[in-house]
Amino acid sequence: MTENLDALLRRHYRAAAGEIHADAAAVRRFRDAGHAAAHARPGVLRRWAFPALAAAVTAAVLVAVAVLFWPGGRGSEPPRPMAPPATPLPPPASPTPVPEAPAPDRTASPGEDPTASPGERSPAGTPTATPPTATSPTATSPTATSSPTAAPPTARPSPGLPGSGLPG
Amino acid sequence: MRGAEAAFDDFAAATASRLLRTAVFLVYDRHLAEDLVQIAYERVARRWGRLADGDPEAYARRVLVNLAIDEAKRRSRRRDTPVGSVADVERLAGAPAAPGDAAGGDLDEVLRALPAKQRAVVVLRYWCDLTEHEIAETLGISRGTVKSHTARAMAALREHMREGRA
Repeated sequence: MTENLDALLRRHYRAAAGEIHADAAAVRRFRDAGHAAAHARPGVLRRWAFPALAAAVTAAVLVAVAVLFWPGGRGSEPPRPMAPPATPLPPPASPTPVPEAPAPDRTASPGEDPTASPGERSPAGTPTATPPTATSPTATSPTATSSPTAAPPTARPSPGLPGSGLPG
Repeated sequence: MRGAEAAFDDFAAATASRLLRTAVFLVYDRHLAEDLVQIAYERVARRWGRLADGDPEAYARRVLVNLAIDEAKRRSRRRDTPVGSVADVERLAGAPAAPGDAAGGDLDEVLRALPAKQRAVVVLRYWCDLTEHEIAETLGISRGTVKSHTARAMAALREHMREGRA
C-alpha cells in the first residue's frame, strides 16, 4: 500500500512536471530581477547609513550623560569611620555626668577579662585620664552590675578589678 | 563582476524550470509560483558571492518552500477579504489553475487540500527526492517533525484512495 502510494506520487509529479516549463520570458524576468536585487544592495546600505549613524551618536550621547550624571558615578565619597572620631575628648568638666552615660562594655559582661580593658580600649594613645573616669563610676554607679557587691573581689582576684589595682 | 553575473545567468537558466515546477507543486498556482520563484532568485542574487561556491539551488529551494508556507498562512488569514482583479479572486478562491490538473485531478485535489507544511514535505520527498535529513534542513524543522508530517499526509492520501475505491 505504501509502496503503491509512493510510486503513485512519483509518477504523478513526473507527469505533471512535463507540462510546466519556464519559458524564455520567465527566465529573462528571473535574471533581471536577480541583477536588480544584486545592484540594489549598495543602495540599501546607503539608505540606512544615516539612520545607523544617528542611532550610534544618540547612543553615545546617552552613555556619556549616564556616566557623567549618574548619582555616585563620579567617584564615591571617602569612607567615613563608623567609630567616633579619634580626636581626644576634652576631659570632662565634672565626673558626675559620666555615670549617666551608658556603662562601659566591660561592665555588661562580668566574665570579661578586666585586665585587657584599660590598655586595649585606648590603643591610639587616648588620654590616660579616661580609665579613671570610666572605672571609678562603675564602682559607685547604682546601675552597674559589676559593682563590688555583685562581684566580690575575692571571687576573681585579678589586678584589673576596680578598686583593687587601678589607680584612682 | 561580469563573471558573477554570467554565473548567475547560467544558474538561472539551468534551474528555472525545476524551481518553477517545485513552486507550482507547492502553491498550485502558476502565476503565484512565478512570483515566488522570482523572489527566490532575487534573494539568491543578493547572496551570490557566498552561495556561488556552495549549493545555490538548495538555498533557492529553501527560500521557495518558506515563501510558499508563508503565502499559505497569508491566504488562510485573508480568505474572507478577496480583493483585486477577477484572476486574483479566482486564485484566492482556490480555482483550479495548476497545470497538473490534467494528470490525476483527484490526487491534485487531495494534495492541494493538505496543510502547507505537509504538502511541502510531500513535494520535497517525492518530487525533489530529498532525504529526511535534507527535508528537515530545508524546512528548518526536526526529522521527527518531518516524519510526522509525512505520516499525516500519507494517511490523508490513503484515506482518499480508499474512498476512491469504495
